Amino acid sequence: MFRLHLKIALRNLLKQRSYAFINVFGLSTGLCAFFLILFYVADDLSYDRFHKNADRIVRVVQRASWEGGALNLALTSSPFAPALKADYKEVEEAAWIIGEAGGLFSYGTQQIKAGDVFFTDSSFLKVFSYQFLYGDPENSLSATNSIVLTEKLARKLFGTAENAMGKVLTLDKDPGGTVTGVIADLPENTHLKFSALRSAPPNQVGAWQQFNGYTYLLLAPNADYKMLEARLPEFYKKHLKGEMGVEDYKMSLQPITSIHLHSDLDYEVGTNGSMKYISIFIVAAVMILLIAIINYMNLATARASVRAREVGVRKVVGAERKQIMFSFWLESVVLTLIACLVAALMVELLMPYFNQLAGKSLSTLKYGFPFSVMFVVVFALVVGTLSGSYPAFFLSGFSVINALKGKTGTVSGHGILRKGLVVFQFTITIAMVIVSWVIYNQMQYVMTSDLGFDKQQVLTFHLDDENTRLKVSSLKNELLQSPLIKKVGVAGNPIGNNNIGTSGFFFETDKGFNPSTNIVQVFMADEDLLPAMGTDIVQGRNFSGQQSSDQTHAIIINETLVKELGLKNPIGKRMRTTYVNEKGQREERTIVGVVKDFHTYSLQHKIQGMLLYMPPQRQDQDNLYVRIDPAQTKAALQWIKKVYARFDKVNPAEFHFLDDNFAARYESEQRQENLLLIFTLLAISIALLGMYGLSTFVTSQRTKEIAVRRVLGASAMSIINLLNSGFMKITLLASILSWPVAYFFCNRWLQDFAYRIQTPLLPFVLSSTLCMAMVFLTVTYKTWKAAKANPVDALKYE
Amino acid sequence: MIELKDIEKYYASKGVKSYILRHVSTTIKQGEFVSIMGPSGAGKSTLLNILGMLEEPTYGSYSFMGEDVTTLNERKRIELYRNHIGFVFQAYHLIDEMTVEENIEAPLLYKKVPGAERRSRVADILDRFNMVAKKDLFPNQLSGGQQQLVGIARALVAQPSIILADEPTGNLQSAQALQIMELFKKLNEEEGITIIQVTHSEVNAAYGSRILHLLDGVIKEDVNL
Repeated sequence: MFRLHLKIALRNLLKQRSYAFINVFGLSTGLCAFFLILFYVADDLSYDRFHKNADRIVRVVQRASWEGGALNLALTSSPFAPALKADYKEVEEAAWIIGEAGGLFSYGTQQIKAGDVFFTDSSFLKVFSYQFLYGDPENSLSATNSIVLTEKLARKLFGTAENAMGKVLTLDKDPGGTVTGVIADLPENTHLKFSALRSAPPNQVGAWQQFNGYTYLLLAPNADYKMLEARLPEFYKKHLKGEMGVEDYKMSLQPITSIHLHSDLDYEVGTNGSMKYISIFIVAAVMILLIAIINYMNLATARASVRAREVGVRKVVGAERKQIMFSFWLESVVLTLIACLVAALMVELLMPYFNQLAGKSLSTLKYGFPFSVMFVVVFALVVGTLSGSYPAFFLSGFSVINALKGKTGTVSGHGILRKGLVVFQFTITIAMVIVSWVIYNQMQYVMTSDLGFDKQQVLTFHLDDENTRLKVSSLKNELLQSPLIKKVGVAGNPIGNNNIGTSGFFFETDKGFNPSTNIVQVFMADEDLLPAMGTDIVQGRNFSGQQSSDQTHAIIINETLVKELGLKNPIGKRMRTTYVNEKGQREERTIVGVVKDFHTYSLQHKIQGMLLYMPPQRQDQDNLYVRIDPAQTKAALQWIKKVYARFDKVNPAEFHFLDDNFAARYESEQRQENLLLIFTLLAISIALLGMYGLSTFVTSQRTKEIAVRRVLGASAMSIINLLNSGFMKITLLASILSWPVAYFFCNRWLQDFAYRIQTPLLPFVLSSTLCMAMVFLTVTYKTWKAAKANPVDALKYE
Repeated sequence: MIELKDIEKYYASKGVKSYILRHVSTTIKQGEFVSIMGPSGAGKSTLLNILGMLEEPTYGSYSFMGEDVTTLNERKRIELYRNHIGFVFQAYHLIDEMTVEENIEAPLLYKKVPGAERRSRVADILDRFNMVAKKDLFPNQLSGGQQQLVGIARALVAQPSIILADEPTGNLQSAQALQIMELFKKLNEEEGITIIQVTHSEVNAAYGSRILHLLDGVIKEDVNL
């Protein structure tokens, strides 16, 4: 029985090749998109689960807000970890790590630059479980100047991991330390990526408000992080409140497994994923699959008239309804299984491109061959059942006598359902077009909007070598010898990367000094930086190289901070530090100028209050900003390299253009934009294909009617209108329904941007029009043929 | 075997009843070969459909093998189809996606006859109808007469006690029609299968043992040959 049904199912598919093609193509495309997204999602959900105690590790983060400002920090300061461990018995172990431990590693003639290096101590290796190839987690970081390398870095420096042990590395010409351990390379699915760990220099305990690293806690088994979190306000009161003075403050604990998808704070370790995007992807993938399934259902039921007689015959020779349902169900499962296999093949072929697009390194057989096969088969059964059950139910329900006469048109409820399904398909499709369009508009806005400075043709590079930093003024002068170099400034950070830090300061207002601090972004800049960036001073003056007091006593603040502090006359107002200098005094500085607001990070973030001061020590002058002649980029770069090589003979200059820095912030948004665009194109093509199939059947069903009308004198045009109008009405209804749906999703997406476009009307109107036009063309291709056909051919059939 | 009492069939549309069958009462015994004749629209096919339980009468009672089948649930009806009734259609109604052999096998499959018996019965019938060489062909590869032979083979394979045939030779040329009628006669005489056929042709009717003449839904004449 089963074998016969199977054979017949295959014969049916072979016989109706174009029908089968529409279905297999649609389903496999939908499934392919679905599978790819599944891989993506599974990977994103697997982040940081490889640690033995993954379910017990949390990260400490903090949020605070006050009048005119707020902070949402993944960062904490170094006193957090020991204090938390001392205060709470639930904290089994606490670790603190801080970046900026990287640089140029050298051993013999081998030189490798590695930036992703952290300072930490052995507690870190107790919290996390990394796989040690050589050395052990207990002792590797306990001595000062120890270095633990990842296998990859060890191989690069020493050829093999084994050779690395016990070797002494230099780091930027300084003695860097001894290799005391080599760990296996980190898996891709971790939020905390590094290529080496170094033991932190001793006695390097910073101030409570120096938020520049990350605190991780290993909780005791059975400890509930929520309960611990509820007790943290007392921690704030005890250690921090006195200095920060902020009332609205909250420390939170994030389970590490949730960081990748659920944490979107400032100063994350790296770029995180986002649950929101994941949900968007899942929704898009499910929708595409649904569109394909609906195609199957609609085409299968539209073919009812073709299959009706067969149903009648089967019933008359003694088939029960459930036997007939089974054979239809089997047919759809067979078709889905074929589609699944095609989809699996497509996934295999497309994976490299998808990885590129999604910024991942996924592999198809990650979960093993048997599992993959089983998954595909089970999935085919589910999707096949989903798409086949309604047609099976519908087709098997014909009354024998009508079925034998080929009469199926009497079931009117079914027609409404079919139309409803098509409306649903096109509502989704048009909404997807609109959303992609709006996202495109926002990305254009983001890429081209004014950042408050002239981002074109400014490049930054880091001065790795400390001697070069000391000679920075002569480096500047030499660079400026060439007419290709317009301006050169020095700053403490490159901008656009979000690595410029924040700090709290006491500010003077009209009513005297504020009792508590305002937390502001801090940016070290020399007198040439603002001109080099092309920003404007709106009040007061820029720093001056001539006035040596500027070096120690002047600050410039931005317009946002002026507003935040409510200053009418900012010039001449003072600011005090929270820390005290060696004389036991708080340092005091005076505002000399106000700079126009400029972005230091992507447009998802609001511009915060900012304070600029001149680098107090020459060593702090580590980032050069160079404005070059836009017409001769190449020559200018060569000139910079040449000059730079005279100062630093070891490190090559690594340039970053400012506009690239900013563009890189939108990488994940651009990925989404691209993925969604592809999904949208898929949705459109599957939906149109379905429309094509449907119009084919509807037209063929009405062949006789068309012929009669033609014989009665109807023009081809009026026939086309007659046939098209039904489809056009459906599409029109779908586009009306799609607008609120699209509006909702556009708004949700745009909310991530502090600076965003108003949801524009144009994409809505144009998307609807475009889809209607495409449906019109698709349908007309069929109806035109029908209208032009010789009516005699249709009539003599009877 | 079949007893019809006062069978009526009408369609009510906008309060007007249009009658197809009126006061049809008759009895058909096991082993009869009955031809239903009459002009177009006389209600021949409707009567056959009622006999085959494909349609229900609006009024009246119908008992089949001593059982009242006027209204019957699907399960019972399917039981009758599987065990007692074979249908033969004017348009053959073979399933296009099945080979000759599979078409003939289908009723046995639905009846859940075990594989070995199924195969032997199908082989038997193929042999009897001289169609062994054609068993792997599809219906569209056969002539009309051959298709109808397959249709009859399919009706016979489940060993029914009655065959209902709606103009079985309507689409056939006379030579082929003759062959089919000879076959019916043989089945009737040698195997005692009751046959009821609808036909326009006096020649075909002459093969049977009894003719029911229908006119405007009423039995005008009941002739035993």
